Amino acid sequence: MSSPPELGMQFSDLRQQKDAYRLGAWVFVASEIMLFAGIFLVYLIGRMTHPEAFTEGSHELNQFLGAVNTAILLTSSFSVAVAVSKAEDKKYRTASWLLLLTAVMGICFLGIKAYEWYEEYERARVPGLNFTYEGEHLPGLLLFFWFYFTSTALHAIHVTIGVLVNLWFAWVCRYRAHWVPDPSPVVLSGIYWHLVDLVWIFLFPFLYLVGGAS
Amino acid sequence: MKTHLLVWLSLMLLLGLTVVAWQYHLGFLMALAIAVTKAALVIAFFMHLRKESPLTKFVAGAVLFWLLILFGFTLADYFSRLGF
Amino acid sequence: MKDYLYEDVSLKSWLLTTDHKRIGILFLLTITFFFIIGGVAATLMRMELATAPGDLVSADVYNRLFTLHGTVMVWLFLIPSIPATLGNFLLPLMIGAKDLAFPRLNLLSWYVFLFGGLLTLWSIIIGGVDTGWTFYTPYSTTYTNSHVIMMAAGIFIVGFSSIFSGLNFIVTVHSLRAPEMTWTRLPLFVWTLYATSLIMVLATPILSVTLVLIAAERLFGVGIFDPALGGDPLLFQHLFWFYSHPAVYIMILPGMGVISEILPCFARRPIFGYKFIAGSSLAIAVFGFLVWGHHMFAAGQSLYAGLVFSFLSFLVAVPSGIKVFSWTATLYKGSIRFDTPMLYALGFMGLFTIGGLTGLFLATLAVDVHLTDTFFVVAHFHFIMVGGMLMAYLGGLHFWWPKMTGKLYPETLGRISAVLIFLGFNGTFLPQFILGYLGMPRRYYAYPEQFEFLNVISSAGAVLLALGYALPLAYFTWSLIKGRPAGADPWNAAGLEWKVSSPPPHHNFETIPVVEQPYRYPRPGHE
Ligand SMILES: [Cu+2]
Repeated sequence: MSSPPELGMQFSDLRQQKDAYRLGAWVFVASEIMLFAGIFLVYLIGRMTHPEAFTEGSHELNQFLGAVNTAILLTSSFSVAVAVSKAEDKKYRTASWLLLLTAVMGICFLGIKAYEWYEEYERARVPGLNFTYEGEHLPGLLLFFWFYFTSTALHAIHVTIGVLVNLWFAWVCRYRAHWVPDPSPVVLSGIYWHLVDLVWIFLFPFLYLVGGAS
Repeated sequence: MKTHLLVWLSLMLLLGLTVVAWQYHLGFLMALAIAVTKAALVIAFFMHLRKESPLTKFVAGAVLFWLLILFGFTLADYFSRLGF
Repeated sequence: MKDYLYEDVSLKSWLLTTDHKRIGILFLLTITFFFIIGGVAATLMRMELATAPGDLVSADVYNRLFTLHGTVMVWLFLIPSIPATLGNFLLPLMIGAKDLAFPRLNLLSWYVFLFGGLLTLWSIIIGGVDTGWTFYTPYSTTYTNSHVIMMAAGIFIVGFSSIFSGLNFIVTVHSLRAPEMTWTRLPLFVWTLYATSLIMVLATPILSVTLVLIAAERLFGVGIFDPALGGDPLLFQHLFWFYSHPAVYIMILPGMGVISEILPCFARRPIFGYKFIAGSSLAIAVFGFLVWGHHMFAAGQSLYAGLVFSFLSFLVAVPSGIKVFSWTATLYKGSIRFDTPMLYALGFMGLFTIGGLTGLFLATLAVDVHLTDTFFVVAHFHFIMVGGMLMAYLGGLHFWWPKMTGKLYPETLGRISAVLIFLGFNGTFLPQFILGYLGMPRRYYAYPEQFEFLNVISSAGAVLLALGYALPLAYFTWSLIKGRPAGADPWNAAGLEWKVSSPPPHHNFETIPVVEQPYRYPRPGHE
């Protein structure tokens, strides 16, 4: 009995390989969640220590664009979820289009995010680059904006990787469907994209919606 | 497909809700509760945790448990020391 | 059929290998290099401390020496030691698999480790970092004029190596066990590796965050930890110890696994309390996360947090106690053979017990206030880390060396080294308990005259200890060339790894191996 070419030599059959990759993806997600959890913990303590500064910083952000970006990411998560179920039904053409759509939404998200960063740069709010502030909430506001840039940049890196992965699988599903006789890789990339979405679900209220509307 | 659509609609609804809650100054805990609900929806339906093997559920449960440890013990010190 | 060592001998085949056995060997060479560096730093420190005045090195150099020693030994030797070498080599063999679940990730883990490790080393030796291995703030973020950021980056990178290995081990144990290898037949070493991997995957990300925060405060003056900038130094300690206390169990758990393999083999008795040992390993991994505040009793955390953490620290001793009882019961009425691995294992049991019991002193709030930052603490964690972990590591290395290389080492020299290390270790660290109790603080290069006598004994012990470590290095190397061939099973041991030839063939098993009950001693049909 010869084994199929996509089977790694360490596995005895495709089912075992699939289970291993699935578990690996979830353990990876677990580790990533702990990473962002650490950042959120520091955020929480910073916010409790400097409530006024965090409110002031949050009010300087663009709530409208933040909400739009959240809507985009939630929708992209939806489209990737549908893409995965299409791939599981072996409807690779539809899946390909949906993955492409997801990637485009990811790019839109990054574009809007970049525009927001530019706005904050213009207002001299980038720590280490041009942060200048004369008001009374200095240490807290610096902390807020450092947190803002670090967490959104870390998140944006994840989005970028996700966009590339989605583009790759859009191409594979369209032109090289025989590479994925088993849709597991698409499922895994979907799990990753949902993780990206999950992180943003928390980042949005933590950054943009502090202290109520002014 | 139909479940996915419903989940997406509720997510958008919750997004609207969290913005409204912000406008009416409903505070951090409200925002947190909405975010947790959204996350739960994404995990359960989009990531199919509901249909995953018990092992995967165990991994998810383990993360939740470890998050509780991290936040619980650290914040316990802060609340009892500084009394936020 | 060629074995994994000779299947292809080119350098390229080693540098691009995905064979878990070769990657284990690469890790072995790398961490031995780091161990020697850390050992040299320790030697210089003990030389300085042999006399009361600070005469050999300056205070500055001494600070760098203990930073070098601590950082290299903890991050670059102890954390990867057993999992990355013996674990990598043995885990697939023990469960009847052909490799780990993700062989390329495994190789990446080594490269990441090597790069991060060298960066760390460079930052201390050239960059002069003097913060100690713990990076305590605000000193590390505000005051020291050294390459802290580079060291943080190095450790940050090394952390990924840990996460990769942990992920790989977890998935492998779950999905690659041979058909008959049920959870209750799993060797206890595999159980401890599994528990260790849980810690690596879930705790290491918090360390990564902490290191990024240090860099941010240094670079941008963001007030996270420094009270002068509106931060809180205790936050650093919370985050750091959330990882670093469980990291103690990353270091000790695999050692406990090794001991659980060696004892039954040389007592010719099945392990006592298999399920208790397996379960207590998982319990340690979980409870280990609930006690980090015992490092902050004297640092100003709230009294209530202190009380809870003190209580929980007592509880975490229970699973370790269960293990020590089970091991002792395994020896009871056994026909014990005192071969080298067994001598190391017995040394482990003695020293680990002392280390654990003195840990209870330190877990007691009131006593800890007296002993914090004294040599008592230094002696305590060296009993766990060196007396426990390093003894287990060397025991395991002696136990599986014939399997890994196919060669036997000279048994007499092996026994001499085990005894030398045991004596040298006690000579070095027992006096430090007394020194600490009398009030000698750690991390000072000079001290009052009245501490000199005990320090001289400690330094003398360190000479023995160094000899003890040099010996295996020499005869292991010698055995590679001149050692007698070992055969598949030189110890007449149970376990799948002994069923394959030594050194094992490239893909471990030709056919799916037959699995027996674990620890079937005495071996049926053999004695
Ligand atoms: Cu501890």
